[in-house]
Amino acid sequence: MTTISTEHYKNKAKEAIKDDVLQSALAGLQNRLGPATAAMYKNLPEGDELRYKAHEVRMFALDNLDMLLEQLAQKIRQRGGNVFFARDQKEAVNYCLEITRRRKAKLAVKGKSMVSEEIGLNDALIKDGVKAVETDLGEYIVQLAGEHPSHIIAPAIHKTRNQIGSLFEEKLGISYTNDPPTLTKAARKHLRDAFLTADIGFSGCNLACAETGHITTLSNEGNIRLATTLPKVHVAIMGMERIVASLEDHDALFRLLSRGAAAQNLAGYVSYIGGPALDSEIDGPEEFHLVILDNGRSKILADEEFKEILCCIRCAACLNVCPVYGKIGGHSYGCTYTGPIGAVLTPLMTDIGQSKDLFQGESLCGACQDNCPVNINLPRMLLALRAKTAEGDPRWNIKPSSPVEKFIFSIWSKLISNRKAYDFFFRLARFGQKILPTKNGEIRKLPPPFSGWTLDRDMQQIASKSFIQKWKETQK
Amino acid sequence: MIEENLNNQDRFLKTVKEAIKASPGGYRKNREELFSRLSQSTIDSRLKKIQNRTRADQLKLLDLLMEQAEPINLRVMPVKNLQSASESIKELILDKNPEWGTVKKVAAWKHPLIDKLSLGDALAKYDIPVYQSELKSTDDLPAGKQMIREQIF
Amino acid sequence: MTLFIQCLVDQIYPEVGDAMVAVFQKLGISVNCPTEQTCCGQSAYNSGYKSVSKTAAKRFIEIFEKSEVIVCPSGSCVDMVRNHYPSLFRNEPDWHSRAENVGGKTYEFTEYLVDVLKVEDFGASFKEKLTYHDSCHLLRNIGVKDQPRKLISKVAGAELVEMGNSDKCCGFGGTFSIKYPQISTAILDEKLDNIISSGATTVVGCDVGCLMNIQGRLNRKKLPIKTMHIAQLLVQ
Repeated sequence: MTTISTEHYKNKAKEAIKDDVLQSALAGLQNRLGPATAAMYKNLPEGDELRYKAHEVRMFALDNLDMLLEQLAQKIRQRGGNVFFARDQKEAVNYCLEITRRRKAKLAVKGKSMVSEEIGLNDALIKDGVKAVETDLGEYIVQLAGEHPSHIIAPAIHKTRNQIGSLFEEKLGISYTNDPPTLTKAARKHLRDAFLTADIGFSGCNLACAETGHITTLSNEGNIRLATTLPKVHVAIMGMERIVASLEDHDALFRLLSRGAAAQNLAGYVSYIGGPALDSEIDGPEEFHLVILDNGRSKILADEEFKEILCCIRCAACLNVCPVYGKIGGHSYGCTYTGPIGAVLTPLMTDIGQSKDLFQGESLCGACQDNCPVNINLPRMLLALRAKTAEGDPRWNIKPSSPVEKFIFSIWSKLISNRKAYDFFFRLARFGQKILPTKNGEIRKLPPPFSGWTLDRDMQQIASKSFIQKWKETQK
Repeated sequence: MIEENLNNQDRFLKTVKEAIKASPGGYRKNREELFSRLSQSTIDSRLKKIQNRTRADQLKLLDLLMEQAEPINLRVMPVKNLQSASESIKELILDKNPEWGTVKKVAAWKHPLIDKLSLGDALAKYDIPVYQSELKSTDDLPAGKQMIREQIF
Repeated sequence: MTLFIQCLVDQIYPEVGDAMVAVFQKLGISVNCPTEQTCCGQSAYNSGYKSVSKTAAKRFIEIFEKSEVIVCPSGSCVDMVRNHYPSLFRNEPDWHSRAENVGGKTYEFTEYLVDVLKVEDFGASFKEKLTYHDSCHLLRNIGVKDQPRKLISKVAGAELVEMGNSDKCCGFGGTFSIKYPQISTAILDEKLDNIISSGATTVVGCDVGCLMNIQGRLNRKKLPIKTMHIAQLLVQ
């Protein structure tokens, strides 16, 4: 589910920057949610400190992951649920298809689940003759349009109400309107029919609880609750790292997750699901399945530098403040996970060399970490990934990716090790800059590899005497 | 399939355990220490706190609930007794129009508190049926559940 | 006080160095400037070349470790020395402790003036509308936010108007601006919009990297707004 390449990234980014509609939508999203999230961390009863506690809770879970997953599986099976451990996306998809075939399912409803995107579930279901309807309004819109989501929490952020109006007119047969409540009602009616007639419901899992043996789902639309309780079969898919040890841990993490995702104290619908309906219970599905997915996560877990990324609870707070994401939008990343989290996770789950633009095309401003509800040090890992492409790493199957750049920096290394050589280099540069095109004392065009700068900016000339040179003269 | 699943599980968890060994974070515990229970005295003191709440404390909590409920469009209606509760719910039902179609139906959970509201009686003269989800007998569970689904859907 | 001049100031903006020296002279503090210093190695580190940055780090440590106090006009360089040097030497205990020692006495300019020397008024006067840009590393990694604002507030005649999202990145990011110019410019143009909306005639900052970036775009767009390092403001 990835189409990452340097060409794709740069072209999509260029398109996105020129797309006024997208720019306005992204600016709106970031202005609305960015500062609001930061303020909400501060107004927690525990203050900002809760984020550090949450970080510890998550790291604790990772260190004990095997035992926690074992406990979770045991408890769910005790209640009559099924648990399947999937090594990779193929195993996960095959397990799901076994169920849909056995139940002769024709229609599936889905709660928003990034992990189901990751494994390409929808495409697999459709190929197998199962209609899969997304029930989160944003995902529903994106699905009708035949596109991929561009934001983890607001998948249709790139679409205007006018576009949605036309889309609904074409696909749902309603007369054109761009009034959001009317459009929402139309979607709601269509979705209600799907909920009531679906054979199977798929969901993700926000954060499982090992102690009690539950998965949890959060939503504001209530769609996940309907998708997981009305159909006779519920299949939940979870990334293996999405678990904490005890129920008490959920308190801190849910409050932080909701603030990070939508600047609210807690999501409207919070559900704990631990298995199918018992015989005597009226509500609930007959069958419950939990698919626990590895798909490259264990390799990340084994790496001291990167295991911290598995603390992520997929709230998208980092997307909401990233200046790069705010300009290039989700589709430029060419993969399931976008924004700062995607810039670290995607290379580690796919191919570091091929996806290098994701972590090199960041300004390292650090806003992501500040906004992260669990204080993940994303900048540190972006730098660690850059070190992999610079110096290579056999474990991650990457060779140094830019021999020219490496050469330039090795020359630079020699220059900075000797002030005389350094001074000489700059004396040459001082001289050389005279032949560059200038205007009003500013350089208009720099030679490669610096030419990128002067595409849109002028450059100040190197001073006629360096500070150190003048200093030496005054000290005489 | 269960045996296959268990082999899958063993292999999966072995990979995870090895990964943890390769990058220890300092939080590894023994199985028995993973889910440390609250001490009995902590549990007792928490329960006591709830038990000993004064009316004033309870009303403060109610205020907090109403404040927090507002942003998620949850309407909290404090009422004095069961009679008022029944009245308020009846008014709500009469006031609201069905989202789709014209027929009004009410679904209610089988629960002692809800039973005491006698909603069925309250709404009878308006021709609004109240379906309480209840399994009449455990003889044929699938049929019983199917009947409830048909009533409510 | 030992001056850690920063390569960009040394070669491109020596006037900022002059201003810093003048500020310390006003306080009667003698300034020492090791003339062998070159670069902290930040650009190599940010591009992933740890071995090159280690070379720079070792040299820096050797030159500066005997100094009592080291002051630098750039938050990102101080971040490099204080926070990244120790991590470079994670597996070399000797260098690690030397790095921590140097990091512990390296300060950013405004941090040193306000938090250590506890001086905020330098008798400067500058009758203009100013706005202040929070450089990312200075703000988030060194924790400097109020100090420059305090200094600005004591400048006679200066009117500080906060721009919207003053703490949002200007798009410089070192080599990011050269490797991904379109994205960098898009981010920079948003910063410019905020500057223009503030109505300020001058943008003050504490890192010439950011200022060079902002001024470069202002000039290309032929806008009359000026940029100024805080040291230069304090000697007005």
